[in-house]
Amino acid sequence: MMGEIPFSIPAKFAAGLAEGNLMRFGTIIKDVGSGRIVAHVQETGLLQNLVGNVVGFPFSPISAVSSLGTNMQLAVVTKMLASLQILQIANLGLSLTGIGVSMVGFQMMSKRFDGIQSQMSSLAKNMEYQFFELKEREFRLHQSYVNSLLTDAGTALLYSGSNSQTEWLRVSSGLGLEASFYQREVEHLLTLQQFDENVFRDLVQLFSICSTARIKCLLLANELPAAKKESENIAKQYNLTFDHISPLCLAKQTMGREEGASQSYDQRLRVKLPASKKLVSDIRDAQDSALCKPLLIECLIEKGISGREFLKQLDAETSEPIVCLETQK
Amino acid sequence: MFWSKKKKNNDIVETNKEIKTSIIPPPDKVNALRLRRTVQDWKDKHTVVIEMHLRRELICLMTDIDHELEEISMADTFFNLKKVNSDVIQPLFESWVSRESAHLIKDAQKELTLIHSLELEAQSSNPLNDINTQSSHHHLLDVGSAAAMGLGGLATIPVLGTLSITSTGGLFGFFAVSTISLPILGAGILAVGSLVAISGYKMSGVKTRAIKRYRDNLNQVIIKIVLPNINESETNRAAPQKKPPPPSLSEILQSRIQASSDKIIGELDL
Repeated sequence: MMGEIPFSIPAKFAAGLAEGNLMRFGTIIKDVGSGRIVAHVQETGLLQNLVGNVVGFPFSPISAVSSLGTNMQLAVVTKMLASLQILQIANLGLSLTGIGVSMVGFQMMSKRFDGIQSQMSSLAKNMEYQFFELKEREFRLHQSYVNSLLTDAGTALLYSGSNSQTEWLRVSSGLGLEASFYQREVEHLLTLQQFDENVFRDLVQLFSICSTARIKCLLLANELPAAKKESENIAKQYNLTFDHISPLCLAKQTMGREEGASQSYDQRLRVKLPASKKLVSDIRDAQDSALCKPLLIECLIEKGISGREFLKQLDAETSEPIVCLETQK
Repeated sequence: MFWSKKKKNNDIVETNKEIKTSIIPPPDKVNALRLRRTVQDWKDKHTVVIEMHLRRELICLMTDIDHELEEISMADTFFNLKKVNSDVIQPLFESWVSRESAHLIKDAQKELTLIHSLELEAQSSNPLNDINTQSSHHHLLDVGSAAAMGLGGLATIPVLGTLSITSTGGLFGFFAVSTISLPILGAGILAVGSLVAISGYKMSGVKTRAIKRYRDNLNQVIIKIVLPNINESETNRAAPQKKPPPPSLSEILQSRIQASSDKIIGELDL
């Protein structure tokens, strides 16, 4: 299917994973006996085209994606579900930071960014949180800036010579600032008495899109050591932001000051806990994924694979939604 | 009398013993990342387990207390309630706290040890790997300093200090001693006993009213000691200059889990 880059399909590892000789952690498949990394799991452009527009996509269970079958190519959906099953991926939380490095096109990233942002605005209007009333204008400013950066990054593909590289580095820097903004907003949200899970998810996704696009720009500019360093920083930021959250705290914050509740505090807490547990589990998956990303880029450096070529091949893939970059070929 | 002198235990109850385990850090990055996630999951699980368990078991404790209160005679209700409080209710509560704390910590410790074992098994091919379980230590709490925490306060356990000294070259320090100062625990309950005993003289009602009042006060104090008080924490956020309330039993036990998790992850992230 692909050129010189040693990609293979997940089915190749099915037996090893089923027998326990191989195991998957985050986006890495490793040999249990030797501890050696065997492959890096990668999503292709096909997967992103398939599920990129699904509302709440990274937080959806796999079963939710299967319902897309009526609107999408059934064969591709089936293939994707089979791959996820082989890789023992129970939910799509891993996709929060992209499986591996997200190969989603900048245009789609921008579209998704807009979708999440409008979803947030409607939530703000419905709930009239003071936090969002004050922030809404500021959010719109950031939204337009991120959109323009993503458009510029896409256009840079057409630039000649070193101009494209210069542009990607500029965009990468801007996206870094935007990622910081959304990270701070996530942190702020976690300190509020009235925690809203939907808003939290949206903000986390916006943070994730900016971070992922930043890495993608560095890879396109073939600045692999910088991309590796930056992905390490991003993983560290994820840990700083999310390590301290717990299902119990989130459940209590979600309850906030619910008025007129007919149930006791204990009962309400029990009702809220399952959703909080799921949310925290998804976030932990995203942390794992972010922690694996520097290892992928390290592999690209070791194998002398061009970042741009790597992304180009994944974006161009039309038959496989998920592939594996083998480390030993 | 039914509260015939029981041996008063003013010593410190140890909810668990310190376990220090030394392991060689995971040999590769992926193992370290996997251990990181497993410890996070462990922390997420046990913080929930602690709070929900205490909430559930608190109902049993209240039932036990109710049962004891039903046995009180009219005379004791009016003249000896303070003694009932110190000789019956307080030991019952202390015993419950010790038992439940020990159970929760032991459960969490057991699972953490299992996580370790799994990691060590995965490294069994490396002869350098070794487990060196050190002898347990019994840390005694300085009751004097703990007393300064005042009514309803639970002695904070010097867990961070203890853990910090175990961190050398891949030496992981897990649970330090969880000690709870029983005299401090009882202070809140004693106060309730005194209050109701005094007011009991003024009451013209019957035993049931006195007992009901005592029980209501007692329940409030016990809930305040065992579970985080949501209203207080909200008030505290609104007025941060106010002294924060002492941590509840649930918060203290959860902080042990959090501190252990932070410690292990801190070592892995180095």
